[in-house]
Amino acid sequence: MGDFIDSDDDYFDHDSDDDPELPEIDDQGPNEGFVKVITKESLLAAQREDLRKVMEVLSLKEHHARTLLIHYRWDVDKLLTVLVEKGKDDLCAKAGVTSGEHDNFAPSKFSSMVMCIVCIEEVPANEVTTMDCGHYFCNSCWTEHFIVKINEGQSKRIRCMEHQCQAICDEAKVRILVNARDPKLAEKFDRFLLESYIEDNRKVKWCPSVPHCGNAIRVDDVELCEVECACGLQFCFSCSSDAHSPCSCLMWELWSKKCRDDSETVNWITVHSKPCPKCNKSVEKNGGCNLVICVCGQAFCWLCGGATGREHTYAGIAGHSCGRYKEEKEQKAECAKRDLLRYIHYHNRYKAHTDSFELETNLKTTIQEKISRLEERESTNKDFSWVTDGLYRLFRSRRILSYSYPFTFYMFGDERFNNHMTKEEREIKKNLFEDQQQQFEANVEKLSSILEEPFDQFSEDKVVKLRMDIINLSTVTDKLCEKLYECIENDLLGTLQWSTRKIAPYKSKGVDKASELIVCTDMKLYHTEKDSSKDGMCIITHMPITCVLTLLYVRIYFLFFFPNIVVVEEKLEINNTNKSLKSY
Amino acid sequence: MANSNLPRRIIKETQRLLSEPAPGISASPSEDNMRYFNVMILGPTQSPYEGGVFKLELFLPEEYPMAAPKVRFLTKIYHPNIDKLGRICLDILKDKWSPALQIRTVLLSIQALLSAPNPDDPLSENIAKHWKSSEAEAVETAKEWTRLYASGA
Repeated sequence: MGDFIDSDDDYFDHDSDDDPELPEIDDQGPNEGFVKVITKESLLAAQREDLRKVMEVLSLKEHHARTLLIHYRWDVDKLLTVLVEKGKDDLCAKAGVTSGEHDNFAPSKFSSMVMCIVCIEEVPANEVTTMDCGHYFCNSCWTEHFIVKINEGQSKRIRCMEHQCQAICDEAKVRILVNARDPKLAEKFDRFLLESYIEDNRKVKWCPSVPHCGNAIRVDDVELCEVECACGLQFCFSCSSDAHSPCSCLMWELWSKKCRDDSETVNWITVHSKPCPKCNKSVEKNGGCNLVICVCGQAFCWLCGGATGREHTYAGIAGHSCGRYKEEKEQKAECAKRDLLRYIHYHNRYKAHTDSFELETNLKTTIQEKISRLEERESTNKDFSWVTDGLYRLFRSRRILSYSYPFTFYMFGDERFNNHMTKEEREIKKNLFEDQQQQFEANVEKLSSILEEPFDQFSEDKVVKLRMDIINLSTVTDKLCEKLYECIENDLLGTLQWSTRKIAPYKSKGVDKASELIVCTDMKLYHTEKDSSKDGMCIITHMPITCVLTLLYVRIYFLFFFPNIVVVEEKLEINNTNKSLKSY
Repeated sequence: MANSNLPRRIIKETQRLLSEPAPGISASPSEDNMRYFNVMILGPTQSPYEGGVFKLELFLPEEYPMAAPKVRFLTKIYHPNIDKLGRICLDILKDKWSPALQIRTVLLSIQALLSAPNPDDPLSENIAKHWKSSEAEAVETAKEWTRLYASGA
């Protein structure tokens, strides 16, 4: 394992030498480099990195390494743990990898004609393919088998045709045979194998952008975090929806659903109005007795909603009796009203901050203009990073502030998030939290307002003062936000069960940005390996990807199919077929 | 016609099933569809199904032999791995199917399933419960059903 970390460090060094970019990047958190973006172009390379590790450690061929990795969901550490605990034979057997020591069974050694037990025909020995497990069948039967399995969505694990044989078929043989019959399907097969790195991998997720940017994100060694894809989308790595910390994934799911279907309003309407039994319009009762008359002229009983005649007395409606419990109804109405008011309160604040966030995004351009105007001026101070730093602080804080309202809504009003708190305790904690939220909010607003000042027209002194103010405010806001998170994580969520508790931690430097994945461009690494390596197969597999591509047609194949990569809808379909296949 | 381009494997299997049938099993293709077989299995000796003649239908799907044949009991049977519609819970008919298996092996496996019911992997929850709680009683019911529904004729 140590090896991998070292090699990762290698990449860092390489990385930081080359791009002394934005000031933001300089002070990234401890997770820098753990979040990588995998583009269409680097997908193969990323996959090969893991393949190479496994091939080296176990001295296996590539397709065996891939079969192992698919079986262990691309978790190299897990795979190596099993290797240490159970040994290579067990590890391989479980995943359906056989060593291929069955050459003596090869049919060509017996005679020129052999029997294929699937089609029950005599076939020439050169039209027969033997898999690593030693079982052989005629090419035509193999091809049929592969086509059926690929269409069933099982490309990643096509087993040998022999009864009770667990071996997974050699992908190269599958590719050659299928390609001869149906090149389109062979493409599909390759794509499935390639995408397995994303779909079967705990550490990798597709970026949820719509329209899809084509990227996937890999996160190493971090349990819960929010990431920013190269396309700019920030999302929660755990639930793949927009970044939502300090809301937990569950809170956010509930909240977005609530906002989407406006369920509170619907709730209120169902409690406060009734559909007319004739025209179905919602009717609200604004006073009077329980005989209600709709605008369409239909009379009905408010208590049961049934159509009635128009005759009535003080005590009841003529010829109608439905005897409901009125109190229960009233209580329900009151609850609905209170819940709606709560929701409206928090939603307004959430919405206000989200709107401000959008408006402030425009600030970016205006501030850039102001900076360039200032830069043209003769001045001693040429460093304006304090403005952009302040602006980014504002963006980050605004986001968190807006999400803190749905958090409050659920934290202090939903049974699911209310474990073990008495009413009094809850009240105290709520006050404490809201106090901190308000302080934070006040500073965010202040920061927002001074960032909008026309500082390009300020005198030198005034600019210096503004600089101090912005830096100070930024630091204060940062600290307050940190405290708000402390309060959330320790005092509030600390008492809840883990599944609802987890939130992405606060990062003063903002959401983790995915950096380019750098694989195999490291020539130094390649040379040393090449020199030390004796085995021809190894040299090829250790080479940088560009060289490999020119050498092996199989690899050319892969690259060739990149443009055809992923349509999200198609992916979903495939998943569905997989599911239906599993659930007999 | 469905029979016009029947794979040679199906023709061969059919010929062999007719010329050298497995003991206790008969399978003959329907006249208008060579992929549809009428099957009879005799209840194995020393099983609750002894003496019974069980009718089944077997159909070879388009993808056969890459996909498993579809088999169903037509005769009512009291068995923890067979439900009231006659569907059979047998691994080789599902995910453990191998193109190297044949109609003959499938039918032999079904015959074996009659000798050795497996209430731990049930298709029919009630019968399986019955089997596990009081096997002797369940076996009696199975015998009773065999007499009632599978007595030849």
